[in-house]
Amino acid sequence: MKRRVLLTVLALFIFTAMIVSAGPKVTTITYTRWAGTEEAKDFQKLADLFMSKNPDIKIVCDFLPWDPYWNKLQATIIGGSAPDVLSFSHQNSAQYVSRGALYDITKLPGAKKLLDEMQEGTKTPVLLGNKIYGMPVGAGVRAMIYNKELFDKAGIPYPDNKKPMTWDEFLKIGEKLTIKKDGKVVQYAANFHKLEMWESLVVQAGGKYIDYYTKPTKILINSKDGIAGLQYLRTLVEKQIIPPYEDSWEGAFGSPDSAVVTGKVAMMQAGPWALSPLKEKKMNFGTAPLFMGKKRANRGYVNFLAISKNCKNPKAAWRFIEWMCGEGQMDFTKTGDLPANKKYFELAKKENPYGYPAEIMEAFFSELPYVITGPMVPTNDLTTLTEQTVMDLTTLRITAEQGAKRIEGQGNGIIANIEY
Amino acid sequence: MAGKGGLLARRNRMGYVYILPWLIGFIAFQAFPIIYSFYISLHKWDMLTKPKFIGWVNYQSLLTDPRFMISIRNTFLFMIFSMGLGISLGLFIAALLAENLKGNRFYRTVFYLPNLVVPVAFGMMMRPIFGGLDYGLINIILSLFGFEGVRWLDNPSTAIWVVIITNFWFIGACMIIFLAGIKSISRTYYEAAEIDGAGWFRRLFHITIPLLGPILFFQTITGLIYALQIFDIPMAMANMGGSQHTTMGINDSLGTLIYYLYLLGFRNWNMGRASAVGWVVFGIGLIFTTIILMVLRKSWKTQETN
Amino acid sequence: MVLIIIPFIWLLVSSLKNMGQYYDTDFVKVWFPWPLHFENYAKALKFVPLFLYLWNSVWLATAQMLLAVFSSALVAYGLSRFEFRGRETVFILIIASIMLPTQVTQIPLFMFYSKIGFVNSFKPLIIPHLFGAAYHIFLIRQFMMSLPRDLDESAMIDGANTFTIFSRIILPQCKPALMVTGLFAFLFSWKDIWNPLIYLSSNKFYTLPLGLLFFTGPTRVEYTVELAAIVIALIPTIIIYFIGQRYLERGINIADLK
Repeated sequence: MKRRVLLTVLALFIFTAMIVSAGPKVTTITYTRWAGTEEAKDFQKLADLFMSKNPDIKIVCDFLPWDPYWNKLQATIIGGSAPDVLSFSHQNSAQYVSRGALYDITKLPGAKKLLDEMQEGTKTPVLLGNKIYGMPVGAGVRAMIYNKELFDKAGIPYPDNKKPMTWDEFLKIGEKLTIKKDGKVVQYAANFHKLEMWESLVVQAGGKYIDYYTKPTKILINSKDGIAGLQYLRTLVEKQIIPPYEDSWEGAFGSPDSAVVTGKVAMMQAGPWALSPLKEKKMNFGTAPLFMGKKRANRGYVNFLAISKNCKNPKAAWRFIEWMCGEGQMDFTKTGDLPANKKYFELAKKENPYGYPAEIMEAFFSELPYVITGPMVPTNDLTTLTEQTVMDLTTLRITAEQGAKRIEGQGNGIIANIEY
Repeated sequence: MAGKGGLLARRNRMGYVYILPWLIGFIAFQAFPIIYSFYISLHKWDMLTKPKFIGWVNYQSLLTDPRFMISIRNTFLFMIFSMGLGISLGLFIAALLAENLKGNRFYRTVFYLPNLVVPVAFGMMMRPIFGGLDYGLINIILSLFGFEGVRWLDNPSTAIWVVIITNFWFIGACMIIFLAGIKSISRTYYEAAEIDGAGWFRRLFHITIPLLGPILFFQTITGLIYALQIFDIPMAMANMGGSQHTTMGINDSLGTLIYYLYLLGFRNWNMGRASAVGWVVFGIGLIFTTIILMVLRKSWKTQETN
Repeated sequence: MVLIIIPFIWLLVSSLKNMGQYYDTDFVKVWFPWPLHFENYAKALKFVPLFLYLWNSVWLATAQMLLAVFSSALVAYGLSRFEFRGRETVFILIIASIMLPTQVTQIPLFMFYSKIGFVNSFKPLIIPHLFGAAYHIFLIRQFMMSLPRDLDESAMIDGANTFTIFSRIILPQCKPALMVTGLFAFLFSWKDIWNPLIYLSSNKFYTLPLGLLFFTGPTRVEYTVELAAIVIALIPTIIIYFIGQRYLERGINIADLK
């Protein structure tokens, strides 16, 4: 009887072993990035191109949609078995870089030189002191994308695609583009990413959110200009030019990246990545720079590539990264980002490899110099604070003054407690 | 039986062999994470650098943390309503559907259906009911009676009730266990009772419920644990407005203990504090379980000797 | 009961809309759309390799279910039919292990699997189920506790060993419990996103719930196609449930065995 039991257990083990050995095989380098199904095809093509030029390296890709991508990245980096080549967007990378959780590429051949070729603003997220932890590969910029037909219907001339509007001009056309029926809004003038745009507005007003982006010491938002910036955002909600917070993500008015596609919003602030659904739907759209206050400012993204600490083939991984951030940049543009490499940025401006007419891409190119990244600190408490405050602000529960005060008060406390 | 002394003892030792799989699995896969997580709760750990020992600070900090307090309040509310009402309802419905009446198979399927949906689906399916001001079903019904629609989820005072109510959608899981239990009760008991002229209700209370003792115990404990650990429903509701936030609904109104744990650990990179919350939850669970055990122990022992 | 069905009606109905109809807030248009867009289902199947993911899910869930049920039944048998020292402790440990939130042990567990090289494979998804799952052990044990002892005793008198008693007598008696456990194990595996997400490294091996995640993102708004995919995902589970239901209906009569 004992034998019977043991035999059963043994059988179970054999069964499992058979299943398990049918599992996946190991390959040379693994690469991961966030991508929707169509974007994934573009990135896969990029990897295929590299492989055709470097037959000794095989790249296995793992693409996931935005949200699960970050969850998995976090788990695998912590657990010590992350893919070899990792993709980062600067707002989610501060924790990893500042804690040295990535592979130090400073000493890899050509790393320093390549970093020098990058746009100034893209270098900060990858540096920790003198050590380099990643290589910028692209910059995501948001510009205004608008539905020409809705403008025609309202009888408003298209915004200039080179010169930004002022706040007042925007308010004026905004009021005309929001259409109400029986007291309910059926069309909004615009849908913005409030949780990111608020800082752009603060800076546009001439104020500042925080003194430094790396190792900040003081919150500066509670000033006349800072409050003016927050107030403008609130005004846009008050005048119903943009939907209140509750309606700005999954409702009828889409999200900041998909608003125009719904046909019910006239303008959105998004990057080149958001253009393909519009093209698919054969919408008549145009682009323009973001409006400006006293100055121009626009929250954007620095996307960079890094090597995981547990990578067993850092040299091979580095070759892939070096190519993507150097020679491969023009091919990289097919995925929708603007090249981070200065040389190729200029080339892209001239040659426009994007698949959209030059006058459409113009707005994105022109925004790049005004991109702000936001603080790069190893804590999410600041983001939680500003998120909560902006949510309250754009649901009209608090005033701009209260908002600024809250951010300053709690923010300074958070900054003081950060350990580097 | 006493005469079989040695044989019985040897036979009893076979018990060890049968539990061997669990024992191995526990030691190999569970012991380390469990101990390690307690160890971590005494440290400050951002998961990327070395943990730093800080003693009981994590636990102490929770006592003065408003977000923790909201989470406790919400979790307890949820426990009381979902456990109490949920188990009774589940039992009642199972009893109703236990007979092999004509429509019953259909009803059984329908009741269990919600438990088959993928979490992603759940969030989407709740929208048309609770959704925005004008298209949510509830709001539409309210407007028929002349009431104004309410933003159920965005209103801090109503938010957690939405979670409690939607949880009833899942009653099928509870029902099906009771159903299995009822099916295991020998027909002879019921036949005898019918002969004695007992009606449906009397049979329910005097036969079904007592004989479901062990199952009831199971449901209570697991119901307790489930309620204590409720997390994906509030998170799905909080994130209905787009990509993941770092707050638990407006003013943290959807916060529950495990939801807070998740945010602390995975969003704020404070695994030490998160583990502390986890062990507080564990402690609460233990306390409640001990109470329930002590209460049920008596009736349990008498049943066993039958 | 009607309440339960309502969201499903919405699901079915909306999966046949196009996006314009999806956002209509008119009551009639929400619940009775016209025209119906059956092509959403074709689109859903093309968009993401749904059948592949479906197969992965089915295969994985079946494996997990079989292993978990069998090993849990073994352990439950040991716990309920034998009186050995430490029995109570083991039982309490089992309940306690359900009480500790999984989120707390997730990361240490992942680190552990990393160190022993189990990641990027199916191993962490299958091997733990060899050893029984606390929840299932608990449930089956409760059922076994309510089975009368005379069964065991009469079999012992006839000279049966423990394993025979287990397989020929106790197990069949527990059919309702086993069916429920099997169902739960299957569904738990089916709905699990987290474990396949972090332990599988290639798109080819992803499971259905993971596949569903690909339908929406910041730039996509094809919710209606996603709904069609969700309906498709529901079908296998409904089938499994139906199969299981038939076992439930039979029930057991002690008199039959005598």
